[in-house]
Amino acid sequence: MKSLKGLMLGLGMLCMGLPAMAVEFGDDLYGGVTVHGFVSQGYLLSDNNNFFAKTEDGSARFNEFGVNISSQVSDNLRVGLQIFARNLGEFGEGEPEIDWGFADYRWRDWMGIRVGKMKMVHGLYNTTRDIDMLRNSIFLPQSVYNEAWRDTVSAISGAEIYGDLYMGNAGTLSYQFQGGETEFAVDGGVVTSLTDQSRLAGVLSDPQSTHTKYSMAGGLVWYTPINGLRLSTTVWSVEFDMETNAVAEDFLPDSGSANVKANTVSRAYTASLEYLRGPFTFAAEYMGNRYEFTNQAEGHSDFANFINAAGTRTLNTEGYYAAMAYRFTDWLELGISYSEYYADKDDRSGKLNTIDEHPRFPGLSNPRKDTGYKDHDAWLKDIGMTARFDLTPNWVFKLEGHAMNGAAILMKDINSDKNNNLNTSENWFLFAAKMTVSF
Amino acid sequence: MKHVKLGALVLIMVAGLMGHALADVLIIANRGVSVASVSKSDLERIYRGQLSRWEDGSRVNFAILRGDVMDSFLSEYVRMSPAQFDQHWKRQVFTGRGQMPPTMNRPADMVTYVANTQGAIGFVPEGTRIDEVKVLGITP
Repeated sequence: MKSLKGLMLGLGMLCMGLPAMAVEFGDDLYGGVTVHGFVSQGYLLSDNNNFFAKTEDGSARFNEFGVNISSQVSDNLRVGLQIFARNLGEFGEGEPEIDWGFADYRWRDWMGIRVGKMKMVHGLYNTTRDIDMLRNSIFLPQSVYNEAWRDTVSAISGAEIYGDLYMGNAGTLSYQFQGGETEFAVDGGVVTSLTDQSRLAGVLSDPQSTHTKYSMAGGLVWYTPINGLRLSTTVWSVEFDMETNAVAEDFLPDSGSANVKANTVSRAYTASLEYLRGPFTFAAEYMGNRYEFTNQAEGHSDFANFINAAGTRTLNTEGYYAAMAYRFTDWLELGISYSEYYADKDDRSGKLNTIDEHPRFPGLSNPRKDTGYKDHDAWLKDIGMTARFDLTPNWVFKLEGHAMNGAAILMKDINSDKNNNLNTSENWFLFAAKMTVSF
Repeated sequence: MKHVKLGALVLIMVAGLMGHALADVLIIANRGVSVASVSKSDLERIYRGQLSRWEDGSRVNFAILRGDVMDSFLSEYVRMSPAQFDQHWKRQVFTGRGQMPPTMNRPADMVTYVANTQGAIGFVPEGTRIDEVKVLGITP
């Protein structure tokens, strides 16, 4: 950590005198290699609740590093690759990995193809969410850009067809369609969330492996004739299997354990609007996500039969936000946002967390209530304010505050008491500071 | 009548300002570029990375010139501020979808780049020596 801070300081001092943006090898039109990169270091502190890291104690496990190389090989062909590492509490662990790396053949302006690992299309900002300097805020609104899903929807390995359709006075329509695989790490945010979900159903899950069946994503962006206004819609559909060892909680009628293949399908869509006018930026997005869970247990024990009898269950989540930013000077931009997220669209008030009886098994007590869930664990409402300071064109410092109401999306393992019961506060405040240097 | 005169005065002032802004910047191209003029919308698409070919299919290579002339050019033809333009291209760079356009700091450097680069287009302030390149007309 010390070395990263030293690197930040050193690069920052360097950037004070460097207007140049990149390192280039070779100045030929084709075959030359361009290198860009960035380093971010942040700090998080909350008064209650741990936001993906041990933020109640203050956490500097919040950093990112990326370096990319690219080359225009010919008129139509370009290749590039970015190495990226990040830490956010329990996620990332600072392990360098290929963030994106692909060959891009642009046959015509209206159609090109990319093959390799590409940033996945989702909303307006998913493709750039790893790069702090490209937005006003430190955190994108969690209602649409849930940190738990970040590693999975960061990139897709496969192929992409894209293009820009010029429509004269009606503006330009850009499209992207992607197909391939996304990654579901056993210790990643999605699998951890699913494990929390199964616990609520009375099943203790110990994931062993995951296998992606398919991932698809697509998006349309309409650059309207109104200068600065773009409208967008994106969708994704992913399906994966998780092999897990499942053990019945004591309160279930059938005790025992079983090897379970847990199949999850997620279909999400977003509708987005962005308007840039001089120093003013406005963005608003809506996202819905429909899950289908189907568990298949091996064997014919009572517990296995209990799991298999459940069939396919569905869950709908939704979130939306509006954000504004105003650039006062070359070095100062202020922003404000409001975001709402509901972990279960059909239970926005969190009633299922607090009723006495199990919602599916009359006569049994409600495991959510028994394990500490409260109504406010069903939502997250967030008022965020950001001050962005552009110290130089390549050196950015941000301060951000979030007044939060609710605790949905928070990881249960770092927000539980000694008895492993969920223990969150309804109203809490998160402070974030972050510095980024780029070249 | 008083209001009519005032309105006419404002119109003349606005027209004067617009004429001045347009006269500030010359759009220059490599002599091998097959077109004699370019539309404002095509210029915008070129500098946003949405138009990469000339009419004959050859590649467009565009560059930028830092300074006041860049502010005028971007405002008039690309409808972006310099900060928005930089952010737009950083997004392309850090997602692998494009490369930063070559950046010049002096008008003479821009002329040299355009003169020596196939399919190149750029802009310089009026009054710059442009013997080695051709000036493109602008159509609405």
